[in-house]
Amino acid sequence: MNKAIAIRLLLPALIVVLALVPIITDDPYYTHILIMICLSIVFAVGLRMILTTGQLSIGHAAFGAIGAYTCTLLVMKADFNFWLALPLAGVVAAIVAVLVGYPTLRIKGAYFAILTFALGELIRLVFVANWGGLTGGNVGIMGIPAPSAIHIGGRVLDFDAGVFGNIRGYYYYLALLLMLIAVWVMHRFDRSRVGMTFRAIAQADLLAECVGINIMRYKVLAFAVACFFAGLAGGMLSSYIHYLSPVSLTFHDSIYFIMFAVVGGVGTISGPIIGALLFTALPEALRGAKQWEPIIAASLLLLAVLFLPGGLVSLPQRIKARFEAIRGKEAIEHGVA
Amino acid sequence: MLLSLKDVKVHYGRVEALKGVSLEAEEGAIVGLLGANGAGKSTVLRAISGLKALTTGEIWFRGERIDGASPQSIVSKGIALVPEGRKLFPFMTVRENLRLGAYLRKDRSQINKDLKEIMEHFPILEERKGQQAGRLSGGEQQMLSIGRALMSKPTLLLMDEPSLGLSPLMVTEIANIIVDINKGGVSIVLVEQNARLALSLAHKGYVLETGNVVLEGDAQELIDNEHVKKAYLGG
Repeated sequence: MNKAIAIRLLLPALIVVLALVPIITDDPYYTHILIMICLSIVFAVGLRMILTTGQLSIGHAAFGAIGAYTCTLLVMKADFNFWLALPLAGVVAAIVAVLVGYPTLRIKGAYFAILTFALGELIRLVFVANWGGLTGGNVGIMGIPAPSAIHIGGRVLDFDAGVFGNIRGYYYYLALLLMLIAVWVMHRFDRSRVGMTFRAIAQADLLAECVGINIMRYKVLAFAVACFFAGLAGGMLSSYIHYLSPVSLTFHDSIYFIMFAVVGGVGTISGPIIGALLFTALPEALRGAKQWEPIIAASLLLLAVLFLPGGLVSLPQRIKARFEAIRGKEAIEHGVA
Repeated sequence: MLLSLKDVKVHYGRVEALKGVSLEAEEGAIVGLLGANGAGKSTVLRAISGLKALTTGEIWFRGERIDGASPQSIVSKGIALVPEGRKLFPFMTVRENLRLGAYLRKDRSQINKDLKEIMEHFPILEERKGQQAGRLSGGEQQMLSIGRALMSKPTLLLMDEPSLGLSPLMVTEIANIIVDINKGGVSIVLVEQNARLALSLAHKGYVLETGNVVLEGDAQELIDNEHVKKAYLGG
């Protein structure tokens, strides 16, 4: 009860603080980190949704790349408005997910994971192939324009000019919005009958079929929704960085997305959020020891898998349980119990 | 006839698990399927439930051909499976497991009524309704598994080894539950290695050996049969 009220009060306060960030600071470096954290969260909560159906994708970044190329090519080669191209980037990533998901999601466990790895590499090679100069091959695409300016009642929101003196202010707001929408949608799924169906499939897929759940439909749904958001995040990323190549979003990133979710904890939606926060901020904090970063990250992943299967979010509860166990033991020793 | 299988053949890869099984279940009856490990008993249930495709043959339920239909549509036609090994959704509560049993039903108020009724029928489930299913004892899990299947309001219940791994006391209790369910108007196909139990409950029985029906008859006939005595009832 108390917890529910606390969340109800804290959440709007947190969102207000996040919305004030460009006013609080005009430092482009910190703003950049926050933008990357927001986009990481979009990827991570999506990956967790796939995990709740009992499947592991290690090619999630590839769907970000699909979104990025879709958005960029639509804007630069087909003269689409960015604000139309961005949702289409999500849609294209989702369509690819459905086409790929139907034949492959039947396969469970490590086999599906390996397949998604192969798929990610395949998609990367498709972009490397430079279809008649379309994708720029290994060189990639440079000079990707900023999102088109938005005109609202006489005001112009110009991404190049920034806002509140913060040059990256509008990008930050866009990333924040994407993140909030993704988290909200995933949260709604979690609480719904569909979310319960996902968990049922993960826990006992044969039984899920016995009670009448069409398990393929739900696995494909989770995969497609997650990839839709990956596509959006990828689309935004390319426009923000102004550059895109086949190595912009790769297997390496996919592994990081898994780390966000697993180290944070996949049981609740807060897990991947905390994981994304930690792992995106960590390399920045460890800048002086950049070469150690993969080792530190991998160690954290191992520690989490070995000692904290519920992830970081389960830590307070475990500490509480440990304390209670100690107190109970003391009580027995002192003859109070 | 409520259910009939006509010359059903099923393959796992190149291995023929059912080599032309024909059997029938009358409305209101308990039909026992006996046989040793690997005789194909579970495969029969999987085939009826739509979880395993037939190679050839036909399955009819209430005058309608159901082989080739999806597991979902077979559940909605009124056939529920209690799978072997007390399969549950282990990290969900007892209540959630029961509710998932009614997954395909839309009549919300009736579902709540049935939920109450099942909790009354299995008081231990009422007591443990907020607990994770994976933490129940074996007997409790079996009751939950049966209760879950009943939540789909089946006319035919397929039970796969309900006595497996339970204490003798619990076996008796499950046996009583099976009789009760049947008296409530649900027909049952009961797969059991415990032949004595199956034949004491069933009206009719079939004996499966390596994918073939080798014997069929009324339960009493089978109890008196020399081969059954020797091979399944321990002399």
